[in-house]
Amino acid sequence: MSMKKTVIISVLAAAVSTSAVGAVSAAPAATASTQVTNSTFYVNDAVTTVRTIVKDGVTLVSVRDLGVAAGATFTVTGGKTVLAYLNDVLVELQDGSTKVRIGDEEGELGAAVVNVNNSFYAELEGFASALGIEQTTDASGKVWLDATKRLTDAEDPIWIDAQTLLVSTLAEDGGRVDYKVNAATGEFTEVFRTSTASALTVAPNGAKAAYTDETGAVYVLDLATKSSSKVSGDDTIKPELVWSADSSAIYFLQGDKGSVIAKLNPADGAITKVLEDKVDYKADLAVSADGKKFFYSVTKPGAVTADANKPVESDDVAIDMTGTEPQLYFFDSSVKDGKPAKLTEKADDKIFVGASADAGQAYYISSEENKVSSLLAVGADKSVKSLLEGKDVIQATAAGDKLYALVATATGGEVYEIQGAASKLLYTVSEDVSEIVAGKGASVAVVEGGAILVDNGGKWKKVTK
Amino acid sequence: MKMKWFKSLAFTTLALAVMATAVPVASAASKLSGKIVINGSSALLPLTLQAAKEFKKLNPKVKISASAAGSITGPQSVRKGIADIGAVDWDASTDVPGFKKFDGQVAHKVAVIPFAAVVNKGVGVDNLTTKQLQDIFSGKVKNWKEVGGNDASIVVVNRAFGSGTRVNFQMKALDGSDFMSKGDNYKEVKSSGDMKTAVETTPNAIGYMDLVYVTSKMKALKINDVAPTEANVINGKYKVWGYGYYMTKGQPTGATKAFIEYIQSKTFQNGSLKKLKFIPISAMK
Repeated sequence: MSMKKTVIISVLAAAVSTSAVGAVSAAPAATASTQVTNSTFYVNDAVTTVRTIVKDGVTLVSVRDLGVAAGATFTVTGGKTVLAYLNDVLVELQDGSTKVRIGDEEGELGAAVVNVNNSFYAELEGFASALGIEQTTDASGKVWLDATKRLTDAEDPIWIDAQTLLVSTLAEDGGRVDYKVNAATGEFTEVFRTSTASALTVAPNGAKAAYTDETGAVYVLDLATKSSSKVSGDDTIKPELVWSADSSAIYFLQGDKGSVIAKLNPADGAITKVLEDKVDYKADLAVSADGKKFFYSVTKPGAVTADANKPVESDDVAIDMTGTEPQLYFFDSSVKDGKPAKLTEKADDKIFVGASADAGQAYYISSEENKVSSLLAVGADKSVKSLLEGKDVIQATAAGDKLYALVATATGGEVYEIQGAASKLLYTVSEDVSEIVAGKGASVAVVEGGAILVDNGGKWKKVTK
Repeated sequence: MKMKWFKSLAFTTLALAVMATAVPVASAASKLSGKIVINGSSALLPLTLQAAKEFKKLNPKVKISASAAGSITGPQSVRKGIADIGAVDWDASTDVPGFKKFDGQVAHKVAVIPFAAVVNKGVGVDNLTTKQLQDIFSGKVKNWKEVGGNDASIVVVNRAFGSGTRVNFQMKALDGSDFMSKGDNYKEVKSSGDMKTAVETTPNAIGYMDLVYVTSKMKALKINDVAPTEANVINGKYKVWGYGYYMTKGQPTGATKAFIEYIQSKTFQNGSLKKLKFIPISAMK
């Protein structure tokens, strides 16, 4: 499969070699002496010649040359109509018209299609856009056209290795389809299709993923062979699954209120309880590499006072939401008769809770009304410190021993990398960037307007749209 | 939009040295802010807290607090103005047995909730008809042998008035017939958790609860020979189910509107909602 359909166009670059070809056009739309230029383009990083003309100051490209370079197929009917087909998109052009039909929809080109010596020429940007070809212009003025077929509306990206993202899409039947996406090319392959399974929890080794079905049973999916095996028929609700660092065991929260921390051995299905302290609504479970230390949050519901003996119309109900903000806890299962320790007390919202790889500390974003949201770390000794001073952090994620934070600014966003006490700005991004995706040994990816982009050697490569 | 992105992001130099001077307040990702208070159904509370956790990751400036004390307190709290959303196991904008409609409130479906008649594991009965259920819960039938079981007195465990599970069970399993309300073999409990404990630990007990909360320490009964399964709810054979609703005072706006849209979204309905063993609203035709 030829996946590198990247078309690098350097029409504007003076350095490209061109040879003028005088042509006399029989088509009425073209001038009697339209000059066709053989411009040097870069298709899949290889030099390719594409014919261009200039009409009324607008550069038009050969529909056939550009289309073939991008992998399209063509049909010409009646000498006036061109049908181009690429990546499941059918585009119809008419000689002398700015109208373009894209499937069932109609669009407008920036200039009318011109026929020169029975070759059709179309305005570059509009034609490429109609075919679904991504266009970018780099700092040197080069125009990049990328015709790779991409997933649309992919969600929940996570790195499964340094080159591959796992993403999900919603299926028309209400189910979900998970794909592997090549982070360099955008090439994608289906891994898992389901209408009953929970989101996949990928093991640290990237080879397998765990999920539960609607009965609570646990399955392990081999990401290479795409085959699943049931590893536990236990029918309790499991709100969260977490793999052990060595990818050999699955920890999970158990029960509809996530009250119990338990461990499942996928090899034999054995389940052992790690912590059962009758404290409900645990979440954000993180487990140390040795499987003995646990960080998690606990959310306490509000207290309601209501007298059922009074008439409903009296609305005799009162709610006290004091102390309902989530708090972080630490539990060391290696300590005999040890109890969970409450690490935080403050009445701030705590989101994006996670733990460092060595379980030395937990991190979270502290959110309070009318204040910037801080990225904080708390140790097992309850000491709290700021990891990114003075920044309005709106998302945080860990990869190996590094943290990555998305920060809101007045003009857009910034992405920071934090390691120990040091932090550095990696990128400035648009305000439409809503998420960063980091993986150990992998590049940084961002989600912008629903599309996923990967830092590909210094340029953002759009791998889904 | 695409071109905007290309210009603003595509070729941002990596590791750009940008001076960080002032402390800007959030303008990226989500501009939504505000506070949402939710109260009502205890059955819907796990769903609400899960949705809140996910929603706050998308909207970190929105604070959500939730509580539960039975369905009726949901629309009551909304009417009283102390909650933005009332979680309730019936459509409280309409009259139901025991409760008049709450005028001016709008009902938003958020989940499908199957309910099951449950018995202590020692009870030797697997199936009851609607008539048998009516007779047991009204106190007319007092011994399991009258419905094909052992010679043992039936202990009826009921939810207290105001429970949405009680309203649904009365409407759909008992066809609206009345419950008994007192007696030596009658218990009333205040929550799904208390019902679970009572049925698990009381010999010869019968009660009812959300199907998702049925444990291996009890037995869910067939009703009219139909097992209480998700499949039977969806295919229309099992009738004892209802929608879970979020009630709002008029049409919701701002963060409340966005939160309701999130819990109704395909992503949540087909993801976490199923994981918590509720049925997506889209599954019912």
